[in-house]
Formats: sequence, C-alpha cells, structure tokens
Amino acid sequence: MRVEEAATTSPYVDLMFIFFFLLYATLATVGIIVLRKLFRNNPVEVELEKKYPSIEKGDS
Amino acid sequence: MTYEIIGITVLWLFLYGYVIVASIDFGAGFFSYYAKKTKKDHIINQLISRYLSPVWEVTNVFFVFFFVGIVGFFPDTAFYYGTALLVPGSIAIILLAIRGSFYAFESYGSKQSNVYMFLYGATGLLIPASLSTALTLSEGGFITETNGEITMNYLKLFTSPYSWSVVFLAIVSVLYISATFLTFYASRANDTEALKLVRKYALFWGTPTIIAALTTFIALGQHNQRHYDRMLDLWWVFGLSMGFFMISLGLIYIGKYYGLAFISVMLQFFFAFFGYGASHLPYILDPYITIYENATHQSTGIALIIVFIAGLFLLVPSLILLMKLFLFNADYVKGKK
Repeated sequence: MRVEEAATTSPYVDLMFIFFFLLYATLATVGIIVLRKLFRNNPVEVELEKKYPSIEKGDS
Repeated sequence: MTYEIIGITVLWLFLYGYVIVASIDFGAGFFSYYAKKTKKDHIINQLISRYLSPVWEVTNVFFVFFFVGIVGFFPDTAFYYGTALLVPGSIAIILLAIRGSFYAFESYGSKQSNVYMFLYGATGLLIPASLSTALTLSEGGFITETNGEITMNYLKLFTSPYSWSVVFLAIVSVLYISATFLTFYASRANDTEALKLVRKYALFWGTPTIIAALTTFIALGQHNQRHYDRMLDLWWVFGLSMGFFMISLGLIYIGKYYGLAFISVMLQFFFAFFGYGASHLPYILDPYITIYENATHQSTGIALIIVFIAGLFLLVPSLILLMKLFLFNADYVKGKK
C-alpha cells in the first residue's frame, strides 16, 4: 500500500485543514492573552501576600 | 456465543461507560454556564466545580479504548468510517479542544468572562451532537461505496429527520443523565440549596428524554425498517428501560433515595443502549460491515477480548477508587478539602 493509496478519499480535507488552522491560531492568541493578563497585572509579591497573609512583611 | 459477539459486547460496554461518564461531564459544563446566565451560579458552582476538576480526564480513556478496540477488532470500520467521519470527527475534536482550553482559560484567566464560559457550556452540548452522527451513519443510506471509493451524502444527512432526532436525543440525554447525577451529588454533599436547583433541572429534562427517545424510534422506523423490526422483537429490553426511567423520575419527584435514582438512570440507558446495539447487529455499518464478515482473525480477536476485559477490570476499579478518593469523600464534597 502506497501513501496515495492509503490516503482518505474524502474531499473535505482542505476544509478541515482550515478549521484546524483557525483553531490553533485562536488558541495561540487567546492563550497568549490569558497568560499575559495572568502575570502582567498580578505581580508575584501581591499573589504571595494574598496567599500567605500570616507572614509579616520584611520578615526574612 | 461466538467471539465476534463477545468482542462487540465488550466494545459496546466501553462505549456505554463513555456515554455515562462523559454525559455527566458535558452536562455539568452546560449547567454551570446556564446557572451563570440565570444568576444562580453562587448556588451550584461550588458543587459543580468540585465535581468537574478531578474526573474529566478519565472520561476519554473509555473513548480511546473503544476506538482502538473497534479498529483492531473490525479493521474495515477504519476504512468506511474513516472517510465518512472525517468531517463530524474533526468537528468533534475541534470542539473538544475548544472546550478543554476554554475551561482552563476560564479558571486561570480573567475571572468575569462570560464568553469563555459560554464556549465551555455550548461545546458540551455540541460534542455529543457531532459524535452522535456516527450512530446515525451506521444505519446506512448515508454512506455509499462506488468502485472502492466512499462517498458521504451530507445533504441527505442534514435533511434526514432521523439524524436530527438522534442529535436531539443525544443532547437531551446528556442533560438528563447529568442533572440526575448532580442531584445525587448535591444530596451527598448535604447542599440543600444546590439540591433544590439541580433537582428542578432533573425533573425538567426527564420528559424531553422520553419524547426524544420515542421520536427517534419512530424516525428509525421510517429510515431503516429492518432495524426497527428487530427493535420491536426486543421490546422487553426497551420496556425495562422505560420502567427504570419511571423509577428514577419518581424517586427524584418524591425527593428521596437520589443514589438509587441515579442507578436507575444508568440502568435505563444501559437497557436502551444495549437494546439498540443488539438490534443493530449483525451490521456495524448497514449494509457494508457486519460483525461476522469483517471481524479480524479469531486468534487476534480472542487476544483483544482478553486484553479489553483486563482493561475493564483495571479501569472500573480505578474509576471507583477515584470517586471514593475525591467525589464521595465527605469532606471533599462539602468543600472542606
């Protein structure tokens, strides 16, 4: 069996390629936006203070 | 009992497991969105998010097992369905990807995004709809083979009343299975407010489930007379299914024994699913694939059966263990852990 014999005969492969391309493009963009939002307006210090309010500031 | 029958039964068991576990997950996602939309999310989101996190990874294992099994056992299914399901299958995969990633975005990203939640909830209903087309196609009439080339008649698929009734049945069943499970889960967590709400959902989706089942039954009679007659021969299986439906709805209505109610729902779908499957035989794809002519060699078949039964013995206890550890751990359910 050669590759061209094994390939699907469905005529919709191009269309599915476009769909998957759009899917990954969208996921990449939204993923970057979400990650940026997650870290941009949310410095580590604030997050740690929120999580461990019992530890006093300047305590090393 | 021949090895072909045993093989397809084991595979069908996997698919049944997927239907139940995935329905709960898909439905819970939708209810989570719906509650947010109707401003009731503060009541049930605690409960749903507790349920959704640990289990949804496991659901796909059933599905993967089923796929590997059916291609291994009946190699011709890959040839026929591979071509025919390229579009519905790709759509389902895209929707699964959207669902999974937007769930992650929703929980880690911006807190107040209704769009993310909408995508998560809506795909939960669209995935079963697109997957259910595989069952529609198996009835025959949509896939034709000419000179070794498979063509699928999309126009016929989209205009067939049978195909739409299956889609409707899939969506409604997902919501009913999920609502009854959440009712049981809420009662386990002693969360009275949430229980009231999800019990209402369960009662609401009960009637459409039966209406959809009957519509599908009638539409099947017009689409595939042979299958319909075989189903009538197995009327008692569907009678049992109907009986368990009555029990589950009755128990939820009187507001007691929610655990038993959910088991009745599982049995309701068990009988309906196996009644459908048994009457579908010997065809896997009417009229091209039958379980006898297109099965793999006997020695491979028996090896596969052994492996899959072993797989069931591994998967089901691990699922029970997972449920014991997380879902039904009293502290976890109440949100103390």
